[in-house]
Amino acid sequence: MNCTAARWLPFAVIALLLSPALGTVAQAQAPAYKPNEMSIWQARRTLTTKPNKVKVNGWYSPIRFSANSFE
Amino acid sequence: MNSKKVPETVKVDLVTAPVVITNCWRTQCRLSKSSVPKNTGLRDYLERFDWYDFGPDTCSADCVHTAETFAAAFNVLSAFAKDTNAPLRTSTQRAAAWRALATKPPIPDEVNVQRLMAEDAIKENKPDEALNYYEGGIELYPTWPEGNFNAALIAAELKYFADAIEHMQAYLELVPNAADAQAAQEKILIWQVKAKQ
Repeated sequence: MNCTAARWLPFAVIALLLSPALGTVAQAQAPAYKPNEMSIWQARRTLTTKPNKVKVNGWYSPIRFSANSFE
Repeated sequence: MNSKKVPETVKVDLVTAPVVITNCWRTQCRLSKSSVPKNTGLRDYLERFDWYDFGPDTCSADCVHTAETFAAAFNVLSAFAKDTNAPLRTSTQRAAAWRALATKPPIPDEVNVQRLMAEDAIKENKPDEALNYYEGGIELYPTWPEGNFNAALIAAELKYFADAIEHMQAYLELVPNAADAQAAQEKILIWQVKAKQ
């Protein structure tokens, strides 16, 4: 191991140990459209039906869709 | 503390609404907003609050899964809005062409798999799962009367009346002269009332 790598190794270990506390990256990219996994109706229900409404700062805020974007 | 009033409803522009979860911490997940164009309902919504709660106490795997499902739901609808070739977009024309056929073709193999999975889910008493399989089949092949009819009944059973009406109307569009057409029409009327309650 060369000198530069040895110098950075402790920082890399600390960063790895701290990473869970800093939050984990759950998803880097939007999932691809797979009709069989979630139907568009199920997707709509997920966003609009209790108890899956989005809780925002303690409030449940319903979401509606514009008429021309889901037809 | 954000003092802005929480809106009662939020208009989501599905064409311009790609949402990703950037990171999760404790009970909350952060959703991306930089890629959402300004002056859209979703951008306004995402700018109002940075964090979205998905769990009661600590952010377990369930919490992350719920957040992922939430983002996936947005993106499924967004992708559908962008997909100009989706069979459902031309369901009316497809229904007319299908009705005109003297001999109805069998459902495609991939739709038949959805049917089998739905029937299996019903046997296992998982109506939500069964509904999703039927709806998956309808997405692939909208000219499927039995799929629409069964999806309508299950959706109504689960009290998703708006979806039940949508599926039963699709059924009647395909087979307007079916023996149970009158009964189907009456079910729609009942569900329309229940949907408002």
